[in-house]
Amino acid sequence: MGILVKLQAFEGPLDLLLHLIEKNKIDIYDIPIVEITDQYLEYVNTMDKTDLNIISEFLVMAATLIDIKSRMLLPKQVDEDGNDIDPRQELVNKLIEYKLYKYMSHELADKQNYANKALYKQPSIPKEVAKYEPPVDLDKLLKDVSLERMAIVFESVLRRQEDKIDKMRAGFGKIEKEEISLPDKITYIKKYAGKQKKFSFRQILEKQESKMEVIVTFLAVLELMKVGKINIVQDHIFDDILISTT
Amino acid sequence: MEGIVEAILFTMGNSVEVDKIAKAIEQDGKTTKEVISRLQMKYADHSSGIRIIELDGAYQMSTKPEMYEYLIRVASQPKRQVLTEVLLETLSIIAYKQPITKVEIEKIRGVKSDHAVNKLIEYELITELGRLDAPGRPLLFGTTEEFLRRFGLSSKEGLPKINSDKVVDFKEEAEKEIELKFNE
Repeated sequence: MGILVKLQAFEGPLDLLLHLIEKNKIDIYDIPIVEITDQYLEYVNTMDKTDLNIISEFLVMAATLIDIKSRMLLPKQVDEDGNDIDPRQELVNKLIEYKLYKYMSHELADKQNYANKALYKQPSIPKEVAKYEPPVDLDKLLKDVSLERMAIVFESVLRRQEDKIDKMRAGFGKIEKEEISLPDKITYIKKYAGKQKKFSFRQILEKQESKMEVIVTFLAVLELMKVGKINIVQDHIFDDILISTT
Repeated sequence: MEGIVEAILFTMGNSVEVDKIAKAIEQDGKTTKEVISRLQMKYADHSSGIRIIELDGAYQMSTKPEMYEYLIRVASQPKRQVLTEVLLETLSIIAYKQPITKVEIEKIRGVKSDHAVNKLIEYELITELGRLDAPGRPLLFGTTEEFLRRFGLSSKEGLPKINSDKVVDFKEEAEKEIELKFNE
C-alpha cells in the first residue's frame, strides 16, 4: 500500500477515508484498519492546520480510527444475540451511507443539466386583476363571534400578560443614577474655599441638603486633602475642623 | 377547456395549483387532470416548443429543454448555476431523508454543514419545515418546489430510487479490479 502523495482537498474525514479505500482497492466490508489508520494519519499530518474547524473534524476521525484499531486487538465483544460485535461495523455503516448519498447526488446532478434548460415566464397579469381581492363579507367573517367569546379571549390575553411578569422580581426597586457627583462637589468646595479663604468643616456640611450630599461633600474634602489643594487644621481634639486653601 | 387551461398557465407564468385550475374551468380535480394531460400530450406530439410540467400537484408552462440552444440565439441567457459537489451531496441527503435536522445531516456527511445548508436555502432549493419535538427543538429541512423544477421531477416520489444493491456493485467492481491486478 503506497504513500498518498495527492494534495487534493477532501470535504471531510469520510470523504478522505472513502478515497483511501477506493485507491487501495479495499473491501469496505473488511477494512484493514492498521493500514488505513496509518495512511489516514499520514495524510492528516500534511494538511493545513490553520483552519481549526476543519482539522478538528479530521482529528475526531483519527481518534475514532485509533480507537477501533485498539479494539481489534481485544477479544471481540458479544451482543445480546451472542453475535460478535465488529468494532469496525459502525464506521463501515457510516461510510456506506455516505457513499450512497454521494452516488445519488451524481444521479441528481445529471437530471439538473437537462431540467435547467427549460425557461419560464413571469406572470403577466394586469395589475388590477392581480390586486383584486373579493370584498369581505362581514357577516360571514363575524358569524361565530359573540360578545361572550370576545370576553373569554380578552381575559386569556390578560392572563398571559400577567403570567409573563415575574411578581417577585418586578417588586424590586429601580436602580437610579446618582444625582450628586463627586467632581461637581469638588468644584463646589474649591469655589467656596476660594471665596471664604477659611471655613469650618461643620459649616459646609450643615449647608448640604440631604444625607447623600453630606457624604459626597465629605468625600470631596478628603479628595482635595489628598491632592493637597486644601489644608485641614484642628486645634484641639473634638474641635471643629478649619479648612483653608493652600 | 384546454384553451382555458393554456391561457391560465401562460398568464400566470408561475405554477398553478390544480384546484385553482379546476375552479376556473368549473370541473372536478380528476377531469381537470385529464384535460391537462391531453394538453401535455398535444405538446409532446406536435413538435411544440412548450410543455407543461407537474410540480407536486401544481402545473406550470415552460419551454422544452431541447429549445434552449435556439433561445440563446435570440436572447442570451445567463448560464444557470450548477451546484457544487458539496451542495449536491447535502441536497441529496435532505431530499431523500426529509424532514431532517442539521445535526442528522452532519452525522451522515461527517462534517459541519452550516454553510451548505445556508447556501441551499439561499438558492431556494430547501426550506424549513418546522421543528423536531426534541430537546433544543431543532429545525427540520425539506426540499421546495424550486428543487422539483430544477431537477426535472414532478414530485418527491420521482427521485431516483436508492438501490442498496448499488453498494454491492461497488464491492464487485473493486473485487474485479483486484483480480485484474493479480492476473497481470
